[in-house]
Amino acid sequence: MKVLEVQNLGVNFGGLRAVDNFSLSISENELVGIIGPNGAGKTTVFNLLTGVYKASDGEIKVNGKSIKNKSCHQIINMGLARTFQNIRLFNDMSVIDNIKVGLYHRYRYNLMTGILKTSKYFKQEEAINEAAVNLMDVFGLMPYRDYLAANLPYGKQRELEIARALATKPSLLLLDEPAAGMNPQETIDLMNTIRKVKDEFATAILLIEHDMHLVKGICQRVVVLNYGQVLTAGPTDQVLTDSAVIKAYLGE
Amino acid sequence: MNTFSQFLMQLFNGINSGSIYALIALGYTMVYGIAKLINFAHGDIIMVGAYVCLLSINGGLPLPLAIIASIISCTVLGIMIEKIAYKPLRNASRITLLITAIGISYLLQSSFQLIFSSNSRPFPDIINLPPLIIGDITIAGKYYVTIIISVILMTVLQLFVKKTKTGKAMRAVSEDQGAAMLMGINIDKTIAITFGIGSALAAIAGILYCASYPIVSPYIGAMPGIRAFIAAVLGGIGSIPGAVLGGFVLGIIEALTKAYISSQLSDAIVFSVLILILVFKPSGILGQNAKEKV
Repeated sequence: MKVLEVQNLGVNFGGLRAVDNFSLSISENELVGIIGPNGAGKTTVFNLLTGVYKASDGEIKVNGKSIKNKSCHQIINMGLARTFQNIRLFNDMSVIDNIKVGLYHRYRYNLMTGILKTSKYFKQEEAINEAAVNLMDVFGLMPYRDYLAANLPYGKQRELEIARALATKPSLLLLDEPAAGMNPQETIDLMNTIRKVKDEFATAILLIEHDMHLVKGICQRVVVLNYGQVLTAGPTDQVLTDSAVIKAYLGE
Repeated sequence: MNTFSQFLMQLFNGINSGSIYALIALGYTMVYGIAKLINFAHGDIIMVGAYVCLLSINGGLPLPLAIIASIISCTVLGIMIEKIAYKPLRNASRITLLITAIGISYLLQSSFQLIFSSNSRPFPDIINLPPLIIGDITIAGKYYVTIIISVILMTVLQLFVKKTKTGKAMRAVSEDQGAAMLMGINIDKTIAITFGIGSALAAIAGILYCASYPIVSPYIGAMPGIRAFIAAVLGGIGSIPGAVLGGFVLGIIEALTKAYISSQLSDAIVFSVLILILVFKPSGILGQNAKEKV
């Protein structure tokens, strides 16, 4: 089944056509990259997918269901999760609490059970704790469990953000420039982390990236955006050697 | 009575009014934390709470039911104010929200004046407990009840915010609405819950306030409201322990200046302390310094 189907997506900001006629479909457990020059509309696409912006036209389906008229948190519940270009953790919360925030929407209990602390509450709290510990284990965050998120080293903050997004149990994870600001060694670690996420959590991943080593290293397919439109799309090797792509990036 | 026990008595007076300020300040600070809005209508919720309690008692309801009625109506009122007045302005500038809040405050005062006239009504003596006598200090029943109830409520609130799912959602929304939304948190619901809790605390504060100063009029919310706002700023607005600390500090300074310096000057002194603290620590006692990204 397709986890994501986008057809002829477009959005206008005033007179600016920021994204035009964008189509993309992603299958389960696929790893796809979006590349393109700055201002090409990559992050706008992410914001459209997660419902932060409303599309002017076109259709988006997550796991076969249209996201039209759905609010952001409902779309997340349909199986989408994302990280941000500039890391946006809950800085005043501990590492484990950051992950728990992501986990909570999967567990339903109302205010009264929370206040009265029924046995259902304790069972859920235990399940949530266990799931959080599992996620921290995968990302090597256990030693930082009670650190405030703000005090983590940069690379670990990135990983925590990915762990927090995975906590919502997405079938498609959107990563917005995960390697931004990383040194070459950190980028290599990140590539391993992304591969691990894809294998262990069986999620599809769509990532925006400028680091071509990373794109070449892990993406199965690449979509190139330029001026809001798809310039070309296809298997990574083929696209990265395409003359139109090189032109868009480097000029004539 | 020696000077030391007199001092202790005044200290208790201060803790009593301080705990009421703290309860109200919690509403200011929670709403500010989550909606970045100084909800100036919050003081008038206290007044509504006191009126509902008074009218229910006069209407023949037993005290516990009157208190519950007051809490429920304030909770609903708080949520309604948010839905009708603030929610449509969520993306407007802060100043627009602030002016709307002042407008709501006057709307509440004026409509209560219209319905119930501006005359003050006596509030019944609802806390009839024997005074606590320790040595030569006498603490009136309503005083220790107020303090105990406030401390319990503050502890419960702190646990709620730290430990429960909804509490974590509230902290997440107050830190970064965008990121919280993308963690599957329902922002509208979380903000509504915050207003509801703040208003429920205001209702209880209103009843406790009137137990100490047994008069109800459409304007009684203004002064404790302003004081509590100061307490919230003093403690560091947005911080829950800060609001509690600020409330107690304010109440104690007020009581001690009234007793030892001058009751006319007490407001001037309280406000000077506020100015001094803000000069040296603009973010309040427990507030965090705003981090600027360079």
